[in-house]
Amino acid sequence: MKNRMDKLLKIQAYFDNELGPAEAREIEQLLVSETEAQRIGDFIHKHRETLRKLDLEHGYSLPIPFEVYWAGIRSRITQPSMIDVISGAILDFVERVRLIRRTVAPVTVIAVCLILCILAGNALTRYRSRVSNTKFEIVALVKDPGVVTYRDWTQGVTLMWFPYPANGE
Amino acid sequence: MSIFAIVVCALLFRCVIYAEDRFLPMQLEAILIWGTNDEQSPDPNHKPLEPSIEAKLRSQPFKWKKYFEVNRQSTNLVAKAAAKLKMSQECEIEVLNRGDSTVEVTLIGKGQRVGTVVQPLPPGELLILGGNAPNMTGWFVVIRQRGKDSQ
Repeated sequence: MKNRMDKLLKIQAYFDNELGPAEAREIEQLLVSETEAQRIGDFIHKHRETLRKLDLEHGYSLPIPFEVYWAGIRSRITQPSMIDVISGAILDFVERVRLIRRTVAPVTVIAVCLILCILAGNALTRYRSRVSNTKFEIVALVKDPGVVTYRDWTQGVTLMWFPYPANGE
Repeated sequence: MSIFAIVVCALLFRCVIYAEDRFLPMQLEAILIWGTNDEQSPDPNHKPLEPSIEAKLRSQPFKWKKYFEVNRQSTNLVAKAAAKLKMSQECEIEVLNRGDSTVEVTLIGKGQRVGTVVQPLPPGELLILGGNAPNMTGWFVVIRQRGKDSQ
């Protein structure tokens, strides 16, 4: 053994069954032959027994396997709280609304503009009709000078009359 | 932003006006009418005339008391498009949409072009071509634009 600490660690490892067969035999010989090693061995043995008794008397041993116990703690750490869940849902909803607004708003504006333009177009067409009424011009091209054309403004009727004698008359 | 919106609206407005002028067809209808003083038409195919047109004919200085619908033809014409409508064996009309609610109507009788009239024809107005028919009766071809105002 290099030094006292090294000896202490080896003896502790022996009691914890962490040594290989060769090293374990070496420590067993040491515990028999050397006084200091015996003292350390007694000390470790005594404290191990004390700890074991405490576990048994006060029930400090884990009720469930070690892995399961820590898995539970890990899941509680990583599991989001109710506040996190609610705030996450609210944020998600707000984001969706924002996305819809971002998409729908321009479409709505364009649709409104189109509707206004169509209405304005119709209004302009009616206005044009009125203007064309005021600038009403009739062009009649006939070979026969006897053809009569006249306009009834109140009824909105233009008549072109062909005063030919009817067949057989 | 507001200037951009105004420019976009103006462009849209111009596009709508252009599209309306260029692509929306003018719905034209031509009705061949027979005017008589008899209460009944001897031809069972003749129908009673639409009251609104009959009222307008009655308001004119014609001597006839009854008007019957002989034939009805309709066509949809985009700007600068023309169509020939056969109203009877001997009577045809050729209609040209000159745009801006103006029509050019040519009367063709027995294959001969008898006369042409060019005038605005907004919805609700009538262009009537007429003449004498045998037995002191009369014929009319009424051309009108079919629209929501026409009736």
